[in-house]
Amino acid sequence: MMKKVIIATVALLLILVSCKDKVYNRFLANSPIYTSFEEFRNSIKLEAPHALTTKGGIYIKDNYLFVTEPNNGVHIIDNSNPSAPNPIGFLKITGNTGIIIKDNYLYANALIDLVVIDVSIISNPKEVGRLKNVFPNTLPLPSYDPNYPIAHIDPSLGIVTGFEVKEVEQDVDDNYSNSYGNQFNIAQNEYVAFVDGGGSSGNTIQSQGISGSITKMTLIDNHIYVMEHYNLMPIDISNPLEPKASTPVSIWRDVETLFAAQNHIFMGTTTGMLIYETSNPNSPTQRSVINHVDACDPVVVQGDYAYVTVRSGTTCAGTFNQLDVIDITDLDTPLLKESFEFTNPHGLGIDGTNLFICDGSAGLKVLDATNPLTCGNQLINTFSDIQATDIIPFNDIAIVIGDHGIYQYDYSDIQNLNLLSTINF
Amino acid sequence: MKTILFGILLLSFCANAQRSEVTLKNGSVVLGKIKTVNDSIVRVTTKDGSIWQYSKDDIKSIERYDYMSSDGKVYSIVSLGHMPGVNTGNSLHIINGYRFNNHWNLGIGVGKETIEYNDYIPLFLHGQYNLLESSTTPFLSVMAGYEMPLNNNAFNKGGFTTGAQIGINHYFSKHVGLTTSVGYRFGYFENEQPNWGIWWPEPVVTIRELNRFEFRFGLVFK
Repeated sequence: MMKKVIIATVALLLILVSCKDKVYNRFLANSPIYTSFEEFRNSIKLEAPHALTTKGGIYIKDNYLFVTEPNNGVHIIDNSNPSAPNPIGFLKITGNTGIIIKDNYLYANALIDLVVIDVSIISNPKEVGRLKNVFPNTLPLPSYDPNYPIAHIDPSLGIVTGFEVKEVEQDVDDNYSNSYGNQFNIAQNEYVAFVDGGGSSGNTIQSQGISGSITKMTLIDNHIYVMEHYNLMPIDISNPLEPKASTPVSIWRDVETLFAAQNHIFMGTTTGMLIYETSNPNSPTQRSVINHVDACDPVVVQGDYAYVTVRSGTTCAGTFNQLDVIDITDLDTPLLKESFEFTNPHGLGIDGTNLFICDGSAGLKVLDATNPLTCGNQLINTFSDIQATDIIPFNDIAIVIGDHGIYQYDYSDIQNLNLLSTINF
Repeated sequence: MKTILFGILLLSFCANAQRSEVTLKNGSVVLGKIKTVNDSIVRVTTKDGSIWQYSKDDIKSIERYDYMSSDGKVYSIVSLGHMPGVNTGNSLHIINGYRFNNHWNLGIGVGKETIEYNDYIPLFLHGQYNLLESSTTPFLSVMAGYEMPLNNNAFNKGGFTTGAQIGINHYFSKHVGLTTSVGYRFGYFENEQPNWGIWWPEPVVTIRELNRFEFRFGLVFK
C-alpha cells in the first residue's frame, strides 16, 4: 500500500512540476481584420473610373496622370488634353500609397509587397511580378480608432487590411510596442517621385514619370528606394519581372521625403536634410547632413542648389516657416546659404527659373530663381486663391494638389496662371 | 524544503500503529500490542514498556484499537501550504467541519494566502474522503471558494479558487494526527486598472489563471 502511495505521489510531482500560471489582459482595442494571403495577392484589377474620394499623390507619365487613393489604388487619367482630363479607370491595389513608373512597368507598394504591373496597354494593366514581404511591418492606413491601442498582430494569419474595435484578450508578455506603432508601420500617404537627374526641371520624359516633392519612394537608374519606418529599402529592378530587395539601411531620423538627383538621395527629415550616395546602389551610405530645427521639410534639387521648405504645425512640431537654399556644390559639405520666411510652406517644385512654393493659407507663390540666393525676395506672383500642398510644374502645366481636388494650370504666362481643369475629391 | 516534508510523509506512513484494546472481565481495559504466548495466555505490551500477562479466561474481549473510530462528529484541520512558481505562494488554512463517518468529511475553511505579492483571505468549502478506517489512511480532498483581497494592491478584485489534494492522515492519538498532502490548485484572479494612461482612457483587466502544484502539511483533529 505504502509503495503505491509513494509511486503515485512521485508521479503527481513530476506531472505538476510543469504547471504555469496564465496571465493576460482584457481590454478594448483595435483588433486586426485579416485577409488571406491568397485573396490579397489576387486582388489587383482595373475597375471602372470613379470619383476621387481622398487626397492622394500625383504622378505623371507621358500623357497620363496617376492619382493615388491612399490604401486603395490608383486613378488613371488620360491627360493628353489638360483642359479635359479623361478618367480611364481605377487600378485597385489594396494598401497602395505610392507608385513609380519606369518604361512600361508600374511599381506600386501594396502593404507588405511591391507589385510590378505592366502598363504597356494602359487600359489593360496586368500584374507581372511581386516582391513579397519586402515591407513586413507595414499596416493599412489609419482605419483604426486612435482612442484605442492596436491589439497584437499575428502575421501568420494573413494580411491586415483593416481594424475593428472590440474586446480582446492578450498575453501579458506580448510585445506592446507594436500596439503603439513602434514595430508595425502605418502606411503613410506616399507621393511617389522619380527624378532623372532633376526631373522637375522640365526634361522630356519618356521612360520615367515625374511627381511632386512629398514622397517616400524614389528611383535612381535600376533601383527603387523606399522609406519604410526608419529603414531605406533598396530594390533592384534590373529585371522588372523579378525585383530584388537588398538589406535595409537604417536611417535614425524621421524621413518625410525623398528626392533623387545626381545619383544621390536627398532626404528631408524633421531635423535636417541628409544626402546619401549610391555608388553601391544596393547599399546607399550617408555622405553628409545639414541640420535644421524640428519641422517638416520637402526638398527639391536643381543644379548646385537644394531648396527645402521648413514648416511647423500638426506632426511637424517646431515654429519655423521658411525656405532654405542650400549650396550642394560640394556634396560632402552642404552649406545653408539663405533662409527666407514664409507663412507655412508645404510642397514645392521648380521648372527652369520658376520656383513654386505652396505656402499654406497664403496661397501658391511663384519666385524667380534665376539667382537662387535671392529667390526668396524675388516674388513674381501670389495666387492666394490656390490653397495647395504640393505641385508638379512641367512643360508650362502645373498640376496642383489641394485639400479639395487637383487643379491644372497653364503657367506659360507666369504672371497669369490660367486654370485649365479641376478634379475634385 | 520539499525533501524534508516528503520525508515526514514517509515516516508518518511507516509508523506502526497496530494496537489492541483488551477488555477484562473485571472491567479493566488495557491498551497495547498483543503477543499471544500460547492458547491460554495473552501478553500485552503497553506504551510505557510494561508487559502484562493475562489468562484468556480473564479476558472478555480483544479488539483492534482504531483511532478512527472516534465518536466525535467534528473535525478540524490546521495546515500550511506552499505553491511553487515564478513567485511562490504560501497559505494558512483552518478548516472546521462535520464527520459523517470514518470516510466522509465536509467543512468550511478560512485562512490567509499570499499569491503574487497579493494577500487574500480564502473562504471555501472543503470535502474529504478517507480511504481506510484506520489511524493511518490516505485521503482525497477537494476545495472551492472565494479569495477575498486583503488589500487594494494594484486594483486587486480577488477571485475564485479550487483545488484537489491527495495525502495521508496519521493519528498518533485518539484525537490528533498529522496530515500531509500534495495536489493542484487553480485560481482566477482579476485586477482592473481604470485606464492605460492619458493616451487610452479605457480600463484594462489583467487576469491571472493560477495553475499551481500545492503542497500542504499540518495537524488534523477530531
